[in-house]
Amino acid sequence: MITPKTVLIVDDSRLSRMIIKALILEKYPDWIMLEAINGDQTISMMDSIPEPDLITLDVNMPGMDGLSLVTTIRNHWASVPIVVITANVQGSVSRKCAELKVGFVEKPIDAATIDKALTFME
Amino acid sequence: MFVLNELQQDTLLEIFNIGVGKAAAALSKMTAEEVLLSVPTLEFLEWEEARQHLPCEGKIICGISQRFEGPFTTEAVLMFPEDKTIEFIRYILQVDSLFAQLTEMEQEGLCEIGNIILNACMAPIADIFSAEFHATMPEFRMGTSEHVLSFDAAQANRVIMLMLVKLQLEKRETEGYLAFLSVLPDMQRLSANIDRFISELQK
Amino acid sequence: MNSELFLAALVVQEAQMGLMVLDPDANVVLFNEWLAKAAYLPEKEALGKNLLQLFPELKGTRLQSAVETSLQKGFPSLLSQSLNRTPLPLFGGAEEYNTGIRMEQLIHVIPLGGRGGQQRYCLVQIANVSEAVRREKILTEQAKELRRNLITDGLTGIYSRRYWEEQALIEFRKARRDCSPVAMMMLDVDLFKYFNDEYGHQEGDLCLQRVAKAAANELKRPLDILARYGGEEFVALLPETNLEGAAVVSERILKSIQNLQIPNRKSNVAAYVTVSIGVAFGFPNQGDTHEIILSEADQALYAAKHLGRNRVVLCKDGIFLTPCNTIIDDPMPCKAIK
Repeated sequence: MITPKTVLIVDDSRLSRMIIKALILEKYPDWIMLEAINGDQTISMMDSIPEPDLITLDVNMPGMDGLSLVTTIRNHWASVPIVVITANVQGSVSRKCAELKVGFVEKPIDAATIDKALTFME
Repeated sequence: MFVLNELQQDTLLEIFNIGVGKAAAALSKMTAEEVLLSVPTLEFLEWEEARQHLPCEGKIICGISQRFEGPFTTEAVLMFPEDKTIEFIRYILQVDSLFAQLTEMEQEGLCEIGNIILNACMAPIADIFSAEFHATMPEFRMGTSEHVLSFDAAQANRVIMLMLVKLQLEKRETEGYLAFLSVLPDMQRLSANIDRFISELQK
Repeated sequence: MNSELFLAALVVQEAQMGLMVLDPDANVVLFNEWLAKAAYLPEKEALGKNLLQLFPELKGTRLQSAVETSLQKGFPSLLSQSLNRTPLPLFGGAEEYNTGIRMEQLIHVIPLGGRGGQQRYCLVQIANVSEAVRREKILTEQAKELRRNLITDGLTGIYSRRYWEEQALIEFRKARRDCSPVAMMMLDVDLFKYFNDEYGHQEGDLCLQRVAKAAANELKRPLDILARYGGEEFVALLPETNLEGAAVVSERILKSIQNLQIPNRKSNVAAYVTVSIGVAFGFPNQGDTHEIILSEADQALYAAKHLGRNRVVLCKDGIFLTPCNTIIDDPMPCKAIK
C-alpha cells in the first residue's frame, strides 16, 4: 500500500487554503492536508511535524513573505519540494522562484493550477 | 451596518489580489523594475473615518481613476505623490524634467498608464465573477487624497468599503497606492455574488 | 429610414473626428468620412475588412490590444498622443501625405453594446491633436528659455546660485543611492574690493567674467556645476569626487586664474588677480549633508585667506590641509590622480 502523501499549505487567505485543500483531496482523498496561515506559524510547525511531501506557499503574506520563507524552510528540510502559488505574477517573482529552485504557479486556483503544482513533487 | 462576513471578506481580498498581481505585472513591464506589493487591506468605514484612512494624508497626489459598474460598483484609483508622478511620466516619456508642472500631454500620458494598469487589474476580477463590468474612461485628478478619491459630501452618512494596496518602485524610491472604493448599497449585491462564487468553487 | 436614425447617421458622417466601428470579430462596419479622408482610403474599401487586414502595422501594438480588451472585456481604453504618437496612417492634407508626415493622434477605444447578452462592438474615436502638440511645444520652448534665464547668472553666464541649490538636492539624492562621494569648492577672488576701487566696476565685471570662464574651463565633466554664489564668490559641486580628485581640480583652477595675469596693483598678495579656494567632501549616504560639506568648504576658504590667500586649502575630517599634504605616498605630489 502506498503511504498517503502530506501537503503543507501556507497562505494567509482562508479561501485559498480551502480551495487548494479541496482540489487536492478531490484527486487524492487519502492525502493529509496541513495548513499554516503565515511564515511564523510555518516555522513553529516545522519542529513538530515530519517532512511533508510538498509545501505550497503564497508570496504576499503579512510578516515574512513567501520567498524569504523558502530559505528558512530549506535550512530545515533541504530537499522538500516547494511550489509557490501566487497572484503576484511579475517576471521578477517567477525569476526568483527559478533561482530558488521552487515551482511557480499563477492564481486563480483551479484544477489545472493544482495539477501543475503537483508536478513539482517529482 | 451591513458588512461582509470573514470568509466573504477573505474571498474578496483574494479576488482583488489576483487583479493587483496583474496590475503590478503591467506596471513592472512599463518601468522595467520590480514592484513591491504590500498585503492588501479591506476596511468598512463610515465616511468620516474613511477620510482619515486615506493614504498620503495631507500630500498633493496625482490619481487616475475609472469607475467600474457591474456585480458591484467600485471606483478604482491609481495614485502617486505629485512629485514622484512627474518624475515617473518624464522617465517613461524620456523627456527633461524642467518644470514643476505637468503639461497637458504628460497628463494624458499618465491617464493612459493608469488606464492600462486599472484595466489589467479589473479584467481577472470580471472573469472570476463571470460578469460584465461597464467602465468609464480614465480621469486624471490632482489634489489631496480626499479630492482625488472624489470624497464629497454626497457620500456622508454612507458606509464605504475601502481596499488599499501599496505599490513600491524601489529604484525610483516611489510608493503609490491602488485604491478601490465602494459604497454600501452595493454590499448586498456584492455579498450575493461572492457567495455564488464560493459555492461554485465548492462543487 | 426613421428620422432619428438618419440624423444620427448624418452626425457620424459630419463629425470632425475619425469614427470607426468594429464588430465582435474586429471587422470594420463603420468608417466615417473624416477618417476616409485622413487615411486616403475610401469607405467602400474599408467596410467589411478586418482591422489588421486594413492596417497590418497595428499587429502587436497598444491599439490592437485596446480593441481586444474592448471587445472581450468591455473596458474602454485611452491612447495618449504622448505615448503613442501616430498609431494609424492618417494625414492632415495632401502635403503631409506626400511627405509622409502623419497627424498626431489621440484615440479613444470605446466598447458598444454587450449588456445582457448583446453582441459587443467597439468604437474607435480618433482626434487630430497635431495643432495642440505644436502649441505645447512652443510654450515648452518659451518656458525653457525663461528657465534658462533663471538658472544662469546674468553677468558671467555660469549657473546661478538658485540652480546650484536645486541641483545640489538632486545630486545628493543620487549620491545617497549610489553611496558615492560629493565634493564642494568655495572660491573667492582675493581683495576684489581693492580691485574695484582701483580699476572701476566695469573692469571688475570683466575680471569676474574672466575668472568664471577660467574656472568653468577646468570643470570638464558634465555633472560638475560651477555657480556664482555671491558678488565675487563662486561655488562648485563635484559629484562622484573624493578629496584627491577635488584637490587636483582646484589646483588647476588656481593656476589657470594666475595665468590670466589680470593686473591688480592694490593686491599685497601678487601683482595680478588671484583666488582663494576651500575644498571639502563627504558621503551623503553616511550622513554628510549639503550644509555640512558646504560649511567645511567655507571654513577651508577662510583658512586659505588666513594663510595668505592665493592658495587651496582642503578640509579632511575637520583638519585643514594643503594639497601636497594629502598625497603622502605619491612621490610627485599634486599630479593628476584618476
